[in-house]
Amino acid sequence: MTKFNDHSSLSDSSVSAVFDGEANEQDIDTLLSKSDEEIHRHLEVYHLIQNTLKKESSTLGFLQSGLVDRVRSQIEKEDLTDNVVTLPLAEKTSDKVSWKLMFSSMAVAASVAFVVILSGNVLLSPDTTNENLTDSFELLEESADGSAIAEVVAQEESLPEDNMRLKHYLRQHAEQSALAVGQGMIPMARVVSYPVEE
Amino acid sequence: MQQETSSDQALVERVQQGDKRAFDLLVVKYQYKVIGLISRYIHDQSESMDVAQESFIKAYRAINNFRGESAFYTWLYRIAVNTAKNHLVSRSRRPPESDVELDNEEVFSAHDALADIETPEASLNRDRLESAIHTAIKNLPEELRSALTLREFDGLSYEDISIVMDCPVGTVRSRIFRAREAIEKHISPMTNTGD
Repeated sequence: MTKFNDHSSLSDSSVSAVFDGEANEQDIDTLLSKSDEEIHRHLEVYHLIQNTLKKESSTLGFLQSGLVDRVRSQIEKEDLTDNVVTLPLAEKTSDKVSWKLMFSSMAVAASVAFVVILSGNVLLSPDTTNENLTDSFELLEESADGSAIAEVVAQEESLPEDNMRLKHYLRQHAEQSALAVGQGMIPMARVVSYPVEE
Repeated sequence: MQQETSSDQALVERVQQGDKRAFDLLVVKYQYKVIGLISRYIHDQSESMDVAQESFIKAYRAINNFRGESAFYTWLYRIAVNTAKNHLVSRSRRPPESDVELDNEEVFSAHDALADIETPEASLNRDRLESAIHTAIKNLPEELRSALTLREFDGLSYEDISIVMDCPVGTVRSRIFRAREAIEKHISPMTNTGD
């Protein structure tokens, strides 16, 4: 590209280049550092020249139509920039989303595992009472997946002799929770290792 | 055309990065095409401007959905057409059965659509302005006039013009700019409107 010694000439010819679709990054940088009014005036005159040469005359009413100002003021008024998500790099956004998803999944798995272990301690203890069971129900309901577990546990309340079945269920649930989010074997190991009097 | 697409794409990327002024440049560049297109559907000048404004706002809101798979103006064109049609439907007016084809839309100018409502004074001013432009072009040095007409009449790229005129691309760019600058200076008394 030819280098212009006169900076003014570079910036003015940048407007002409943008109009022709021949602008490069340097032209755009130069233009965006100039005042809008000057740029718009040049571009509107270039439109007028072009339309005249092509015998497509524009009315003077459209010259200096003010459409740019109207669009800009509406954008600023509606504060549309809040709704326009800037995407400097697509990879960054996807990384943020995947991190959030991972952390949220870990939190869910940890809470479920905790509740499972806690409920196992309470339900399989010889001193289990209805009051303890109620506390357990409350804890389960607070967990991310407590609804399913609470339902099963409620059913088990009427069958104290089925503690082994409950243990088996809780172990399966802990296994699936751990494997679903790939959070390791620790929750499952704790449940598996819990002693049960048979 | 490919160069123009990449130029527009560079501006679009700036907008997607949050630069509203880059969008202003796109608006100024395509406002007359959009207005001319919309005026084929909506003949009222004030309504055409409102719909054109709405079209550009819609384009701005959806700018992050533009992936560059088509030319920016192609994408903008569809937005403008749909906006104009929706406007007609909302006014309980039937839109035309066939759309203005993209290839032919440049034939339809804002002036053609609004000629019926143009005042005699506006028509006279327009004729004077056109006459002044033709005079200014006639008075240009040969190399400036050739570069400008090759660009405006034949739609050649700077590179193609440099081949035709056997000169560097930078020289073509400079000649076209100087031709426009000379014409702009010649017609400036007629285009300066009071504030």
